[in-house]
Amino acid sequence: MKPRQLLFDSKMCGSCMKMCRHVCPTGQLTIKNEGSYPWSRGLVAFTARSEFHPLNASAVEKLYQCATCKLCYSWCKPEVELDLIVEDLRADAVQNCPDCIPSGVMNLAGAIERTKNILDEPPANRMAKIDTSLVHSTPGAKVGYFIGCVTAFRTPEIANAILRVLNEQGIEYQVLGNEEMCCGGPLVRAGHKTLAQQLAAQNVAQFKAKGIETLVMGCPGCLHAFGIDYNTEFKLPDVPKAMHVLNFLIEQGYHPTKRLAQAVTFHDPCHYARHFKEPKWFDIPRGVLREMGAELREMEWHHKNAQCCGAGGSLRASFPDVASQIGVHRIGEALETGAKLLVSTCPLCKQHLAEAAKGVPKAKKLKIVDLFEVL
Amino acid sequence: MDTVELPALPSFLGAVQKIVGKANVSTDEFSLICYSRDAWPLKLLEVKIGIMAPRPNAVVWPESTKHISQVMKLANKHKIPIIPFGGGAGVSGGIVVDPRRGGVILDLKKMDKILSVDTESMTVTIQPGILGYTLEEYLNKKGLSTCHLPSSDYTSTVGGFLASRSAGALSSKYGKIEDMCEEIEVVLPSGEVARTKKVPRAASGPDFKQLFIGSEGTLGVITEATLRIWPLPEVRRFDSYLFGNLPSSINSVREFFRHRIYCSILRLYDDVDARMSYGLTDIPKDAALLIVAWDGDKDTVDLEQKKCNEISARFGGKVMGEKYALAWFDERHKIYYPSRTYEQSNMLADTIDVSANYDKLMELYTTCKAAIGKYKGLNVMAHFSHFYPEGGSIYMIFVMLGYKGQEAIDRYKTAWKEGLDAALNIGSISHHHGAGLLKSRWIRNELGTMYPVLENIKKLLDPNDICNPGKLGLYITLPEGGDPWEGFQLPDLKQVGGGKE
Repeated sequence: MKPRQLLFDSKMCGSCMKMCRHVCPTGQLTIKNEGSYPWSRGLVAFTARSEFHPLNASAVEKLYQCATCKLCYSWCKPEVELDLIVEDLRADAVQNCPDCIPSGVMNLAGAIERTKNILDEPPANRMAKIDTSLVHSTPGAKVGYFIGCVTAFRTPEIANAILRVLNEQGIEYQVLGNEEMCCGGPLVRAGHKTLAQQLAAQNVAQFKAKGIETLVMGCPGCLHAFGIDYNTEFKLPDVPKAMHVLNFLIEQGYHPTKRLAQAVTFHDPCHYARHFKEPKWFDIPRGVLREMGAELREMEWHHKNAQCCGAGGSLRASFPDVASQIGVHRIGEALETGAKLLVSTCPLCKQHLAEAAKGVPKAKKLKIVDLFEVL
Repeated sequence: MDTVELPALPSFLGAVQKIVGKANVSTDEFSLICYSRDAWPLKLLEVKIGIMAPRPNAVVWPESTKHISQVMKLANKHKIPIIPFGGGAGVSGGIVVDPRRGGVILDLKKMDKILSVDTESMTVTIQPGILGYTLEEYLNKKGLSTCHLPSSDYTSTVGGFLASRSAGALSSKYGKIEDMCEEIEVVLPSGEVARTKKVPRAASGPDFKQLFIGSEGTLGVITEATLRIWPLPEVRRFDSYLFGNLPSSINSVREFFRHRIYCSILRLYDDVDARMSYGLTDIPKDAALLIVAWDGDKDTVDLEQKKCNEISARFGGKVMGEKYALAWFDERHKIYYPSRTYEQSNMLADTIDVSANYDKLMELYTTCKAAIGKYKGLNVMAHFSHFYPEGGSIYMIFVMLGYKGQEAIDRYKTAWKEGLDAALNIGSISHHHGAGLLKSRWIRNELGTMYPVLENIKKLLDPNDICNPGKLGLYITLPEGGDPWEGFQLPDLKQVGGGKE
């Protein structure tokens, strides 16, 4: 988005009558400070960009209280994309007010610089938790399966499930193994755009060298990076076509063969259909679940109005307690459906919701899985 | 103007922290900036032109009535003004700090629970910080409704509704918030907790809850309320009528009531507003569009609609179908959003929410319209937004295009001053937006011989004037006059665009 439009939109947002207050996961569900609502972030951006108020520690804190979940966008009549305004100003803050940046966000950047992954794990261990018997990587294959940091190090069961399905479907693919690096998405969300851009260039060069034309992944955060940031933010040439692996399989004519005859609730990851403004995507995972015979029970907030799990937009790194409370709230919504299985299509959502569920006694019998684990 | 410093603030906040916890007290700079405005268009204009409004001195988030009681006792001891805050969604500056007194915001958002639903007596008891939308969604899932649907309910709280005497879209049938409230609990300025009895009606003295409803935080803090609820109607049907002129349409509405027909929605648009709001570009000059809804069982609604059709026809009303009424109801929140088109043209609009009985309703309309419209560049249109058996309210809407900076502020204040001065001797200067800082200066004349009664009650309940000072014309410890009108004089007409005089 051009600076002039960012300024115009932040002015509209910062002088709004606060009409998305009721949906904001940080403002309304948790912090309840007028400074932690979407309109306040618009005000931070407008006053900073207009030089009416400096971008100081107090103002920057408000920027990092945003999960960039884009739920406010679902309710915004003038369609202000606050997540873009926030990310743009975070990048400014990282450059000009580094002491104001939450330590968790600075640690994230440090980890990626050191290890090329967001979890500060040794790069040589990237495939350590993956079942290598499932990795049928074909050098030169036009399809690349990008595993992603969270999946590789925290939820490898998702990678194993995706690999199993790719193998069953006879898809020829290649994986990058220990050479795989962070997509850079978490850095863009957090405002470390320079570092993200360096990483993006390295990633694209690697994909090109390996002849990857279509990049599939199970992580919507990575999808956002490859599918949106690399093109619109960094304007890189030769970015392979990026697809969520589920969308890719459906496009290939995939139909599930297993049965799942039970009540299921589905958590929409923010960076999947909502961030891509693809309303049809909301029903892709639901369609698969229905085809398996599952009884879908929607949570109170679903589809384009789905509440965030709490982990996104670097909120988990900046304000872990707030992120956790949002996760607990979402678990409460899932429990209200009566379903015993909570399904998503995002490794970070799965990890964060599973951690949140540990603090909810009634959630002991709630199983939280990625869709691929039940395919 | 900077907010006055409060020397006792540190010791007050230190004591408050021990009551509500450290996390529930803040003096964070940008948070205070965010508490410096509500949805008052003047404040929104100031944001756009870089005027940083005076900030409150601190924010406190109580979590119980007991917390508030203790905080009020401390506020009295330290003479610290307290400003109750719900959603900050009002349009009159009711929560905007008077910079000459300063104050601490008492944000009630952490008191947002639904305490009980009684489906036998059909009531719901809530804490004040719950959003109108959240309460309504909760009730709708149970097949119930408060039937109080203001266009701001995504962002406004029930406490705010009560404190400012709000009206919702369905007020013609279900009344305003003061008609729906059965019981309230209030923390008085002294810190004592007072509660009315939960009964449908009583003849045991004055109705004290009505003293606090609409008091805008000047007499205490509403900490709990019980509201009437309804089953969702079997049918909510919409229709519209086009009349040749406003008097005919008003006569028609009056006849509906005389036939004991209480429509849930009755909104009447003058020709300018009908063109603007519904794209009815080919309607005759002076025409009027009435949009209507009926709530109830199907057979009752059938009959009421039939009767309304007959009555409207007698006054020359042509049935226009449900399209316009349904469009308004479905999009009723839209008015609260910014608009790209309007923003690009530097448009500023505001609404003066006046009311009068039928015998003076047209006089109120023509007088206000003439008073504001005599200024070049102030375009005026109106709709009559709420009707009752004895009269109704008018949204006198003024629209300014292409003005910036101080010129825009002068123009804005001119419209308000002229509009309120014109309304004062005909009807009420506020139907449901409240007084806030915006209309505070007019309240003494509005209340007339009842003003000394209000002032004496204020002095009795709040001798230290700590409850939301500067609002409702209660300048107990302030010099005469209040922000934003301090020193304001109507600009030279030539300077504001070469008026018609």
